[in-house]
Amino acid sequence: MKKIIAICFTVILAVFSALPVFALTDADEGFTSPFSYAEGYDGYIQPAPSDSYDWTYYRSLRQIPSKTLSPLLVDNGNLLTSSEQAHVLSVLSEKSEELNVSIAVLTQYSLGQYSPEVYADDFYDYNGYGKGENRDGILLLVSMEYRDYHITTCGSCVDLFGEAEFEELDDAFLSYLGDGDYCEAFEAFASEVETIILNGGAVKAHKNALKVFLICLVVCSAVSTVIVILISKSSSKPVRYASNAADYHVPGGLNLTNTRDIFLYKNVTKHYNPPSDSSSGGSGHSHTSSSGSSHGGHGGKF
Amino acid sequence: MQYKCPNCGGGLEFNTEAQNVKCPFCDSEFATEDLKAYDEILSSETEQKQIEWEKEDRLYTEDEKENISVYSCKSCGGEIIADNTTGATHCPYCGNPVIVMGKFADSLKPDLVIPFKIDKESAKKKYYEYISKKFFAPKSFKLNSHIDEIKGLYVPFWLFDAIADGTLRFKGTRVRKWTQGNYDYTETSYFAVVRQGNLGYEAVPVDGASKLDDALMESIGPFEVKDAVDFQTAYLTGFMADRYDVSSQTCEQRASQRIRNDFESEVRNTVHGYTSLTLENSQIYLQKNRLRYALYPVWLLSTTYNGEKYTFAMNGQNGKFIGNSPADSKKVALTSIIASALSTAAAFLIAYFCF
Repeated sequence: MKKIIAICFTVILAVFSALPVFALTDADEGFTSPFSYAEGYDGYIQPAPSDSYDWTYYRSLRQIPSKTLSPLLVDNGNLLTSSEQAHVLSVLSEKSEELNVSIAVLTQYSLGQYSPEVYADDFYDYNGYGKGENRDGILLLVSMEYRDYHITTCGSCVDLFGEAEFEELDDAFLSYLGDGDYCEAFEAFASEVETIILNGGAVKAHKNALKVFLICLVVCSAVSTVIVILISKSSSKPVRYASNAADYHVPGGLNLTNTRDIFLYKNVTKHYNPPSDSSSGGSGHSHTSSSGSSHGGHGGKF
Repeated sequence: MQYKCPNCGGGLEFNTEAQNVKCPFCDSEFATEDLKAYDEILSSETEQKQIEWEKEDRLYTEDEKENISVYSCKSCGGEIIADNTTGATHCPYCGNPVIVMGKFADSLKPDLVIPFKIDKESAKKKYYEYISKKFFAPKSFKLNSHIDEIKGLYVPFWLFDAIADGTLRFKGTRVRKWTQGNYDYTETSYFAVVRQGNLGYEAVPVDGASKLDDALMESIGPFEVKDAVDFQTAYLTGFMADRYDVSSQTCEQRASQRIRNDFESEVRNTVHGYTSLTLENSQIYLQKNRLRYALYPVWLLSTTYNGEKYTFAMNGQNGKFIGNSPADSKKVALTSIIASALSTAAAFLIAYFCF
């Protein structure tokens, strides 16, 4: 009974010491966008003027245009109906406006000689997407030829979208994409991007910290209590029967007179080890695109 | 001739095509020579025979008996002997007064005695050292122990000499793993591992006093029997002695068990190169068995704490001190809380900043 009380004390003490972590989480709930609004910056959804060059021209020059050339939704793959295009574009525009970042979607049938990562980076850079000095933004590329998708991030979004955030994004939209519900997929993508940006990664980090703390608390308390009880028992009750009689061997010790090792039989079991799943996404890390910009990214098959 | 499958115990059949033996039940295959060797080993394993112990009985002479008094404790029933000059007054087991029972009757005379080498002062010092190191013992227990009641007692031990001659059969496995294509393979090979050998034991002690905890007496071991001398009543002077009240036949079981366990452990330590080893059969014969009756020197201290009796014992030959002590639940709880808090903080910091 006393030991149970001791264990309860331990847990209560540890829970109390966890309270600051809860407080930290609560205090940060009012957190909004981590980006400051760049006043006076003009429209990022402004379409390219009909008389200007398209983005491939800028790609050939390796020059980032001063204005945004394409709208936030470019449906070259014709995956959406016109009403869906209008809806997705309005959602992307609204959220981009609200968060002060570019949230863009590109659908394309074939990427030609380019990898999804290079294509997405170039499309982002040479269309002049992004808000503010650092061209903050995120773009989702969907290519139907080999069913590739790739998300590229730029500016502050590179740091904000780590591996865990990309996993959350995948969870939010990839199943729609796989099912061919492209409108829902892009809407879910935009919505999840908004959630992650609003949380600014900070709340998530605190939630993770709390989770790690609670796991540490439960495991360490249980292990420590068991170890202390075992040590106290072993220290207070050292009297036990001798397990051997090694102190009473006559000089010379064990004399082996016969040793035989006879092979009897053998069993072989085999276990199928599937090759690594090609549909899973690659992890995001920072890299430099052809324009010299720094991008984060993550992609895979759907 | 019908062999049994070493894997499942089913009847085996000879496979004429493969020229080997195959089990129709579990599909294991065996080479005929291996199976024959294995069967020879199995058939040589027989029942354990009865163990005989040789004992040369010695009795007290009339003169010796005249010099010895028998005391009895009315409280715990303990019966001790002391020479007439010692004049025992208190029971070494419970500390209550003892009374003289009368003339010493016929009894088996010890063959050997190890005289006390540690005196009472050293015993007291050892006790203080021992108890001060007990972190979890309550403070009041440390302060209130009746240190003056440490008593020297010759404890009766039966000493068993034997040569253990045995054959042990283990089932050993060797595991090999490899990957080919998209498959992971695990091959487990089974072996009959047979080891035969002998090992001599001298003076394995089992205490013959029912009043003393056998585990406590084994914990203060070992006693060095080479320092033992032929018993003379003169060694009893100043000390009390107990007479055996547990027969050698009863004690023999413990000695035999201890020797067998030790022999198995020693033999097992000679087997190497297997992933797992399971003892399947153990045939251990004890030979050239000899039994002796000895008195070993023990300092005893009994104390009561919260209605529970705690007995400490010290080897009177080499000073090894041992005994169970109470644990303070508050100290245990406090230590648990501190350890939990520290380990949680450390684990959290490591987990949070390093991963």
